Amino acid sequence: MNNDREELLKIALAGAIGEFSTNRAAILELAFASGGQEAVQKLESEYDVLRDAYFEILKRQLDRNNHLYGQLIKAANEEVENLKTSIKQVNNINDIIQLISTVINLVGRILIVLGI
Amino acid sequence: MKYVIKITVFLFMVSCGSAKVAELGSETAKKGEEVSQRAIDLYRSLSKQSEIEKAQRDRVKILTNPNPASMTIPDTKPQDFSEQIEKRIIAYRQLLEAYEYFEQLTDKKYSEKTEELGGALQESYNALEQLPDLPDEAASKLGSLLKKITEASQAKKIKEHSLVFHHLTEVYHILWEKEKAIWNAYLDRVYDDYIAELNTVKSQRYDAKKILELYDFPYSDEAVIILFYRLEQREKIVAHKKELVEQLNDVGEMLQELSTAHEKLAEKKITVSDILQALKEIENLLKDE
Repeated sequence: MNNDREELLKIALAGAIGEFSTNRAAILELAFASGGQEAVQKLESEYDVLRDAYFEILKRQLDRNNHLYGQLIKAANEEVENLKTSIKQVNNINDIIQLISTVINLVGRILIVLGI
Repeated sequence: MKYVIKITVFLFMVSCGSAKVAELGSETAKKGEEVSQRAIDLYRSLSKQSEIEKAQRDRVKILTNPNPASMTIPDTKPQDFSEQIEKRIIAYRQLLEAYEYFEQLTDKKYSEKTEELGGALQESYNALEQLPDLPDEAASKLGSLLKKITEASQAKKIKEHSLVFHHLTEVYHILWEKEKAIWNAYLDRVYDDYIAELNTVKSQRYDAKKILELYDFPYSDEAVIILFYRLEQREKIVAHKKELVEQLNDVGEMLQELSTAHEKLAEKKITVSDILQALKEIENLLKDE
């Protein structure tokens, strides 16, 4: 079903649901008068089917975007990995300074041992 | 010496901007975390609508049945949107995680640690008796100079990632706005239909005496008491729906402001006021709950 037709169906369903909702009790009274509780239950079931159809359209419309969410999840996940790398790189400066300090300390000890 | 002064001045200028970038980046990251969490919370609220809708439908079927004594207990099939909602919650959880790492990137601890290590480096060097100690001026500036290098490198990274977040939040925002109409249609069905159907319930189905046990209405006319009760019920339902609709609008606006803040933060020369304005908008919307 193309999107325009789906939208038209959605509008039609919303209209029918709205019409029933605003006259619910009166419609059910008429059904009861003509066919008792059985007719009321049948009408309720039909109304439920209308609502189910409407909600099904909404679900379908949401489902159509699922692949985009899949891409977003992937993109956000990649960004997490890139951020981890960047955090490591920023911290690398500290690792280098720490390494230089260690080397200088080592050189100092060697000089002491050698008595230079 | 001339070059050292020039480099120091240059680094000082870069550093002032860099520290601000880190500060604004940190604020943006925190707001990003809050907005992501707000979106997740809203999806959780939407997932609860299925149960609410089922309960309302069952209730209204009893209240509008012409002869409830002969009806079977209603058991309306719930409208399950959990599959759709779960996918979206995962996407916002992933965004939240990305913001947590972005906040880490903006942390001052890296440059502060550099300054600290700069001091240790100088002490190690001075401890070498065979070498002349660093001149006092150089020694006092070594730590802060190294700190500025880290700040500049950190600011560069923050800007790069901010650009990615700008594009990312832009797509999140577009999708949010696109789906807002669908969720609004869903809420219309859940709440507007319930209100309309409750309006059709006959007044005889209500007991004014019972209502007065629950509410303190200053009226004696039973019809008035029942009407006031019905008004009260309707207002509650309207308020509940309104809260969800406003949250749907707010999250959309916040995502847009987040995207703007990131865009401004990624610019070569940042306009602090623009970023602060976007963050302020988000703060106000977060308070609106």
